[in-house]
Amino acid sequence: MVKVGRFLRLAFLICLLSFVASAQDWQVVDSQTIAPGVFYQALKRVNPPTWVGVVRIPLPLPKELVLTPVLGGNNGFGRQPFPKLPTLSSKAGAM
Amino acid sequence: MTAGINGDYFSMTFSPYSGDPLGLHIQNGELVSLPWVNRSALVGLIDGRVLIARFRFSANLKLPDGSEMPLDGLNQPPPREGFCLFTPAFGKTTQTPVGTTEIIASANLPLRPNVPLTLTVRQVSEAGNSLIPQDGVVLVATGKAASVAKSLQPNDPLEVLINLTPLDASFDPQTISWAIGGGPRILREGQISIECEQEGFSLSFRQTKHPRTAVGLKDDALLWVVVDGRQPGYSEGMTLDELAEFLLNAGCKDALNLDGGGSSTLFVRGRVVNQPSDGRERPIANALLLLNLFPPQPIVRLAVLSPDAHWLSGTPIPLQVVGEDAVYRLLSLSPDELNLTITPEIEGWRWDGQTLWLPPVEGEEPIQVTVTVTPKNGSATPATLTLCVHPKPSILVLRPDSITVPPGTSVRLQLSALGREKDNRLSPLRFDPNEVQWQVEGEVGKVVNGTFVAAQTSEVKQGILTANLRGVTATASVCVGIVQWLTLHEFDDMSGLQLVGYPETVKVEGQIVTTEKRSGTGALLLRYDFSRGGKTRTASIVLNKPLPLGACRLGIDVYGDGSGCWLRVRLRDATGKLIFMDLADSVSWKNEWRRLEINLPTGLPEPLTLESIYLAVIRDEQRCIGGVLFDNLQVNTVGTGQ
Repeated sequence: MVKVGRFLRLAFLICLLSFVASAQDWQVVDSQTIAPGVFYQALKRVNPPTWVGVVRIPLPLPKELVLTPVLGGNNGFGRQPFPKLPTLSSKAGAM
Repeated sequence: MTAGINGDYFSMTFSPYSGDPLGLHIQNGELVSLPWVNRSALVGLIDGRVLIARFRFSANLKLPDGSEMPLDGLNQPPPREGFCLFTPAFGKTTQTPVGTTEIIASANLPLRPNVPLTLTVRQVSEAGNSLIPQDGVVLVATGKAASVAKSLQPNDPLEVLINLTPLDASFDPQTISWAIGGGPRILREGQISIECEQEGFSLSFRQTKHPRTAVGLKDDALLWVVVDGRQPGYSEGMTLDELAEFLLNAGCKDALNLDGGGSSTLFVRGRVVNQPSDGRERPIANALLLLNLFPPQPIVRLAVLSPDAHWLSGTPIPLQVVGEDAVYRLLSLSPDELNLTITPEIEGWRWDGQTLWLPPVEGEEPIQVTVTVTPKNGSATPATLTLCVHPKPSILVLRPDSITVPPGTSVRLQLSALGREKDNRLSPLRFDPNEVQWQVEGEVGKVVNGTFVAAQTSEVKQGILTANLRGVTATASVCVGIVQWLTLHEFDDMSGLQLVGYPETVKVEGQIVTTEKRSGTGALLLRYDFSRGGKTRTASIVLNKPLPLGACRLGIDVYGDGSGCWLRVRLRDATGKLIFMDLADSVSWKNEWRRLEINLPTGLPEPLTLESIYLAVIRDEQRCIGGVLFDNLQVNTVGTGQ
């Protein structure tokens, strides 16, 4: 799995760098594999100053990776910052 | 949670319904929030497909006698007239006022799209704010619906059916696993397609740079994109067209914009990785998460995390070392379990487990510092991180670079440092703002915590503001003082004025009246009819009037009608950037004149153009018809002393 992850990361980097090279002088300032097949990159450019974060999620997803919306309230509707959002991992596991 | 992005637009009122997502929300197949008219949603189907779709929906309530009535809402502020369904997903109670008629019923939950929900009446209450049973629902009944509700008896059967019909995709809504609303769609079938008009977004929303969040679909992947904005020198944001182009270049065929502005947030493995424009993370109503449900595994490698790669030497660098298992889940480690070294060896460096301190670097050139972490025990793969450390900035940028303000005004300063890499490329550097030395020449004011505070003076004062970071400087010219008011329009006639309603259903009329005026021979009476149209309606006086150089304050006399409308101005700077400002957040005064004055933003490329003054309503229930008088539109300029 590690080797597959590294290969995918390399492939993604090559794709992204070709995109970056063609597009407005973007610099990759952070790059991480954050789950099997899932990559996070932070891009910056100086003119105009812009920061962009990109997460690439493969489709279809393996069953161990789950996309789900969640509500902001811990008990129904409401508003929460990310660290306090209910992750609903038990419910997601039952999907 | 491996990662998350903010989701739909939502209510931010101080009402009990704050945090109500505006559009579609389906979670684990359960319908929680209805689609917002014509707005798109990102949809996940149970077969694993992810797509973007708009929906038409119908919602009906079948009564015991077989007749049907429309259902007017789901988990949202109840309408003045009709039925609104509350499910346990909303919360503990309906939050309605005392005296509200409510049907409490058991139900075969969960509520799913296109599947009838069978209810059995338990009780009809008139207490309001009923408890929503975990195995049932509450139907809030208002207006004529309340009398229908009062005729029901315990054990009466009811049925709710909410049908979703996809408008631009083909699938069975019963197969929806999850959905989250947003809008507008910005890519369609490999082409840029900014669908603001179809989804009820304004042109200015499209054309103004904002922080943005979007999702894009490729053949083999879903992309989440978060763009920081409203932070000069760091990140300005993107227009919707720029965002669409970015996603298209990244290989996406379809893409959807989500809520942005201060809501734009990207959360990755335990931390917010972007810089939200409010200066802190905004609590949001819903989010899209990626969960990693692989079973936990032992640590196989280490990872070094830092928020940036480019630093001014001597600046404390946040640096965290964590363990990663084979499925990239992060696990915390004690610094005692690790050996951390840096190359090249720099005397005096230290790391406390959270922050790396490097002493100031000598010379002119940046140096690459490689941080290597190895475990003291175990076989986890070591990690390295390369930092680029600059002895001083190559360029310092101060914004605004020209400040023209009345006495006593405060202006927030943005200072960014750029470092030249060995390949001649410029990179933004992180630095400690406390290290910046500010100098003010001329008696124009002072700098306090990165904010310029203009002096209190009755004369025109000119000066220079200088920021100094390790011998590299940036300057801004400053002019403080008030010279005079210049009249932009007397409203004695309609010359140069155009009246526009938005949307087209909003009727706007104008006439010059001479009976009620503040100055000159007349005043402009703007009549508006906001009874028809969507949620956002505006009545504008379009002027397109260039403002004189040095314009710093705008003033106008307004004879209110007590309607509560929002009163704003729309300006454009010399580069074409739009600026919206409030004259009054509510026209609450009635049958009297008020002088409204606002400070214009400083440091923008001049000349500014006053495009329009407009009344606006943004809530559905604001269906007012009225008339407001305007007179004596003036601009205040600060002189140059010449």
